[in-house]
Amino acid sequence: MTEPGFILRSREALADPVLQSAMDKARPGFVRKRSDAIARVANFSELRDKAREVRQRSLRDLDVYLGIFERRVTAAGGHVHWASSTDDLRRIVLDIAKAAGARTATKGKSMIAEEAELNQALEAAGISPRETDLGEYIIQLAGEPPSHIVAPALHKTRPQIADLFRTAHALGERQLETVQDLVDEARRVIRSHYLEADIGITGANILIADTGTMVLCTNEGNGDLTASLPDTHIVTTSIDKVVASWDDASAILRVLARSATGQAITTYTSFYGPRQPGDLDGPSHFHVVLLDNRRSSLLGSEYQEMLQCIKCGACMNHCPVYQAVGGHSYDSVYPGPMGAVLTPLLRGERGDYLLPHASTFCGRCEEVCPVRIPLPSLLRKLREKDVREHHQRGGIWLIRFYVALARFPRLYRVATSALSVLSAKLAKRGKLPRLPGLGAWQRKRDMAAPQGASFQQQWRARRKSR
Amino acid sequence: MNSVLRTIAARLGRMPLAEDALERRFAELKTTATATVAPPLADAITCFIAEAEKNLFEISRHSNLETLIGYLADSKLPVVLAPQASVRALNWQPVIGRLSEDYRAPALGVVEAVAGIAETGSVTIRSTDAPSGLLFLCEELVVILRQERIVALQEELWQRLSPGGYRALHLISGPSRTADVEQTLQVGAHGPRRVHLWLVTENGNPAPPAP
Repeated sequence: MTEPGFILRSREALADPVLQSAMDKARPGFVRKRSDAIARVANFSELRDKAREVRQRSLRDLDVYLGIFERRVTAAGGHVHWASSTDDLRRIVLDIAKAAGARTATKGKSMIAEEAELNQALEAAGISPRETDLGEYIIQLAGEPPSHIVAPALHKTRPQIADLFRTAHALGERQLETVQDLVDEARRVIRSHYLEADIGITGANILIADTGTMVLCTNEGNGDLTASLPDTHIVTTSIDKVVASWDDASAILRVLARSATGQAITTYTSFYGPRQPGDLDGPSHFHVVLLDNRRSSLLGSEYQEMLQCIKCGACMNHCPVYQAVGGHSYDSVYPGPMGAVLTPLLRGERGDYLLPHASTFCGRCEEVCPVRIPLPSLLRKLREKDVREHHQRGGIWLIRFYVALARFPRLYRVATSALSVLSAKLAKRGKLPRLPGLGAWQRKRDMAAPQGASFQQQWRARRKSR
Repeated sequence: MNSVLRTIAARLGRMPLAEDALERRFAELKTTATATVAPPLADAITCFIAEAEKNLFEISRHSNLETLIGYLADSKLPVVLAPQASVRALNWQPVIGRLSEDYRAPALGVVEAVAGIAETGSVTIRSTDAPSGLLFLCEELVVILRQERIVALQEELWQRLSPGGYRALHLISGPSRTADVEQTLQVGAHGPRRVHLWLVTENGNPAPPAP
């Protein structure tokens, strides 16, 4: 294998004290807030079942719901665009922006825009993209990708954010000591961006086929200002977000914020469509760009359940691997367990197949997933696919040897007790020395030496003694 | 027919449907929708107030709207009224000098909600009731809510409000906030720093206590 990117990046992340202090601050809050929120709802398990049912129903007839969504948006005076690839998405957005004569664009948080690296394309076309979500604004100043799908600047500490603002803003007398100072400073600067922007670009949390409506969830209100003040609103989203009805949207909203931030609902949950004659404000132009980028190839496949994802971030908030190494180690806009499944499937570079191996299979991700995506089993399938197609991971020979041995119980017993005796001889202070073929495994771990008899031997001895 | 939709239909093992056939299929699928599953609620008004308090609304209960003018007289911000008849009809004389139509400058907005939702302690305002810009740009927002307009669940509201005729429907659940700096909750991110819920009770009595 060539560069084992994830391994290198995660090693650096583990040795980065600033990153580790940021992760330490974030970790307990997310877990506690979610568990408090679901403890307040007696039937949260049923709400999850319902949300999963809604997502599965929508994927089963995705073509129908998307077709209806397009018809309804068009009938109300908006436009729907289909982007097969991220190239298509960038081209479509740039065409709309150029037709609007745009010089500046405000942006709400959109993972699809991140996936398509839309900001770089806008800049190259002479249009200045201005992130409005505080987290996105911080990482835009830092020139970094998001490290979490809900809290993009999770990896930044307060002093780092203050430094970024000091460099980018003409501060004058203003202080940047407290969290309030930082939020006020961002509010002041971003406010002027809202009022100047020619176009506003947001993501969508849900699309509703029945009325051609898109749902936008934020706590800051930045998405709404981005969607409402400029004369053109462009929604960059993906084909898997559509549901049939407003009732179905409610089923998702009931689990989304509780799983993400521990709120019953996000502070602002808005339902948008094209502007109508009775409206008191709002953009004259409403565009929805629907990105496929290989999502359709998951339909009808053993990975279809991944498309149920509602992007709450609970899986990464509860993942011991993500919590140790942070989002940037994954080198993808989608980190954590959901990213370890999505990245190989959507991007599919050779190094992406290392991500499914970065799991302890502890199963927390599946336990907390609001739409019950069987993440560990999807990760396992991807590991199998990796071995089937790439054959190059180290340690495979050892597993093959074990499998061969395990087929013959008598031989297995003889071999393991021989190994046990041998390794007890080799052991020093209860630990085995470095063994050939286990280099990577042993670099960070002690291999404990067997302590006397095997399980089977002890079991037999115990049965006899009864 | 676009290629993305064709690919999706092909993955699902069929040809994409057009116009009438598509509408017929959608109508069929709508009949397969399953029943609502919602958190169990006690009394809707009690639940609304409890949830709204959690959302950091500043709540006060009043038998009528006369007290609102007095409250606004104590503020220093320009007052921008939503163009709703019920709001404009009040006697604004005491604050007439501070009334403004410019919601892009720092202001105090006044709007009447079309509904309250008990399950999440949210208020509902459409883009035909107030400019969306007013709701999100003002420093402070006063939302008038008549108690009888509180529904238990979102679905009841979707039944009541016809879905067409407006660009935006906002569910607002407290003041603007962020936790993007070290996961510390900070109120007043981009939108209102304070949202006052002016709850108008029919008979002047406060809402009944929890059973």
